[in-house]
Amino acid sequence: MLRYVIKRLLLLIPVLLGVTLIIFTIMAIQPGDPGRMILGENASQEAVEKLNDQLGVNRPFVVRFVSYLYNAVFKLDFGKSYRTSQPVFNDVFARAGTSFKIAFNGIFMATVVGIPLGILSAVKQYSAVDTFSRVTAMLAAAIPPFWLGMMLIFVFALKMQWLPSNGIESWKSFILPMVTLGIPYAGSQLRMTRSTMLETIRQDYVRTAKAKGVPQGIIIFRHALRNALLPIITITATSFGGLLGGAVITESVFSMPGLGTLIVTGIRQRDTPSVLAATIFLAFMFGVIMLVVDLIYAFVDPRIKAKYSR
Amino acid sequence: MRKILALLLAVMVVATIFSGCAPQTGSNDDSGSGSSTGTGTGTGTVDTAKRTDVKIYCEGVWSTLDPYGTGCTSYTNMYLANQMYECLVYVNDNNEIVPVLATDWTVSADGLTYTFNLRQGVKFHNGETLKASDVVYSFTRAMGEASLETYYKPIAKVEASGDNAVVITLKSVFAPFVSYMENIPIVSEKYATANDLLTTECGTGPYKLVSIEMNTECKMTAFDDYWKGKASIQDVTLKVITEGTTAVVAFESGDIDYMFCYSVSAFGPLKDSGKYNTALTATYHTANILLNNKVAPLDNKLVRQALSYATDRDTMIAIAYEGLAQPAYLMANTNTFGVSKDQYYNHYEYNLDKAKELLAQAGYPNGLDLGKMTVISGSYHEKYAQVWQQSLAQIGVKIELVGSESCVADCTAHNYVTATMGNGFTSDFAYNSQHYTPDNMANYDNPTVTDLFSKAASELDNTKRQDYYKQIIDIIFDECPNIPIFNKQIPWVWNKNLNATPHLNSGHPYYVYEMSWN
Repeated sequence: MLRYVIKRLLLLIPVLLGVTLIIFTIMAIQPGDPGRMILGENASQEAVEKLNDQLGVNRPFVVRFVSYLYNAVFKLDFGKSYRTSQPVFNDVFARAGTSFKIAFNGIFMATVVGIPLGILSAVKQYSAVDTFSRVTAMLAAAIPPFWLGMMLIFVFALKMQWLPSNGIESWKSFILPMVTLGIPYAGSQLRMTRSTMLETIRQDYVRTAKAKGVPQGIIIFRHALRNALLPIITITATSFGGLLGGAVITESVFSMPGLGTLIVTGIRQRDTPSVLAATIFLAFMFGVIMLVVDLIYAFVDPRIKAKYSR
Repeated sequence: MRKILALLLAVMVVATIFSGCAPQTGSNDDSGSGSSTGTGTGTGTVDTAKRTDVKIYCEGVWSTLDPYGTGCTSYTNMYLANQMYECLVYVNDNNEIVPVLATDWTVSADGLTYTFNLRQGVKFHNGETLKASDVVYSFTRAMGEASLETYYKPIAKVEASGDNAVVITLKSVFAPFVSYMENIPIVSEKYATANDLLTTECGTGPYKLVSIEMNTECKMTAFDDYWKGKASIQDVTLKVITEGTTAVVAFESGDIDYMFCYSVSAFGPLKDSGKYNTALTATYHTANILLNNKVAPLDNKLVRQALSYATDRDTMIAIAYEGLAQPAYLMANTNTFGVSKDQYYNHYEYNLDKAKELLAQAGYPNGLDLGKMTVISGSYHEKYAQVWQQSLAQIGVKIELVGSESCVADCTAHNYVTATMGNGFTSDFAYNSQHYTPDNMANYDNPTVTDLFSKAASELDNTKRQDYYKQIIDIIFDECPNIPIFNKQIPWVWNKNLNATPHLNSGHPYYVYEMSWN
């Protein structure tokens, strides 16, 4: 198992190299330059060129890329943000916490709402509960997060004044974003859970357990759900990984400084070091999350654990 | 099936109810009918007699506190610097130069040497007293920052003359020099050489930094030893809210006391409600259409004049900026020294017949195809460009709008035919030389204009300077190197019980020191 973990971690290296190359290339071929973005339209061209020289953006692509890799790998220096002149990981780590909280809360709500409803929907297939759940899931997945977030702000922050509309000052600030993200993902979780549960409860061993008189609850939660968990874990984990950097709209609506808005701002302002640092961080975290998911598989399914141990 | 439909209907009804409960502010189709929007906590039900704090909205994150660092001229960074730092002088809304850290100044007979006498007894936030060496140090630092280049470019050297006077020698005579000094803040040399100004400060301003989280919030507190006397407002919190509609909600629910309506459509209802103080202030910014003067057929003055006649500013303002802008006829306004009120009018009133006539005179009786128009994407520029496109279509001129994230770079490199642009200006028309002397974005080159700008810059007699600018403006109106469209107005809203004064200059829009609670 340890060998497997190490192997997976080592495999992250070419992944991160690939991500770095792709992002570096995309940022390099974008029109515009950071000097102009930072100094604005009223700055003279000499001033812009001077700043671009200081930032090193006028060097050939290969020189810049190799230099970046050398500094990153051998000196752990990922450069300074063109915008703030601070080491890029200062901002990345400052925002990572917020992104983690947003993503975790969203997935937590999606899981808490989606999985039980999915199980219920599967167990009571074709009933009113099932129909209601499926329609709700479809609507939940269709609701645009921007609209949902705004509606929640109007109702709970402005009208009822129960919750804050923005910021990250307290735990209350994370409730509305949690609901904004959680509802659409709950829809996906519900449908996935229902689908896998339906497959599982039709298996022979479940029929045998019923015939033996095993209580319904034990059949569902000890036997069926455990076997249905693998795809659910996968979708939960990939959703979480995606939300780490992908909750840009929620971060913008609720003015929460996360990694998504850092990347978008970095792209707009041609702040290559910031975009690279955030993307590498997210790629690394995604890789780690996938590794954890695979390890959870081993915990849930002993057959997989045996396979890892070979 | 019936059950499904019934459930769907129920959900839609609930959603509609929630939408109906939402106030009109923040809605894109807001009609400004003035319906009640707030629940009252932001409108004076709090016992404001005891308030000594204020919460101010900021539309973007901060990147630096360093008044001479990269990004120091971005508006959001300047909001903070304006409260904590001061300059030698300040230019007020009436275009008057007001002494701040300098009490007075003299100019040598040749116009090259300025001697500023410093105010006595001014303290920095670290307790040090302001000296000439601090000013010299501040200028030296400023002169290493590209974004401040416009302001220090005329300077050859800066020297201390004792502890209480600073001598600035210019490379050549530059008449508006003193007004430019409002853009170079003064920092404590002792503090700055030992500390990082990116995240700390040491100015002479009425507020000093308590804490800052660059992406969310900045707290300041009144400086007890401020030379003008301690501020009425003791504690200041600036909150970053990047989404305009969320900011309006925060304001209405009392989380914010003073803000500018980034979401311009929200301003009308807030104003009409009568619950808040509101103001519309002009900005030193002009949205304009660039014409590449060296690309045919735009090298023909008649074509440029025709396009000017086809510009419907009123509709552009209504569509692009919800009516919250003033038509612009120059890259300046009547607050700018050098622009007289009798010159500042629309020399090209919207008239499509006149436009067609001029096109015919230019040799294009059937219109022409101007190709692509580079438009700053994701902004109001797209909207007024669309209006212009429709107007031009009526006179047979075809343009294809192309959104661009690198519009500024393209225009600087003259890699365009027509383009939308936004440019700032200052209180002195001298600043406009960057638009009309060689290597400007419009690719316009008129030796007479260049010569007149040069003469004006080196003329210390204001009457003569004004005359030079008058001549320049006459030529510009005749030649139409670009088409100014509008000056944005900043819509401000603030708590009914808060006294505040929004200012004209976008970079210096407010000073908390001037605020107080009733």
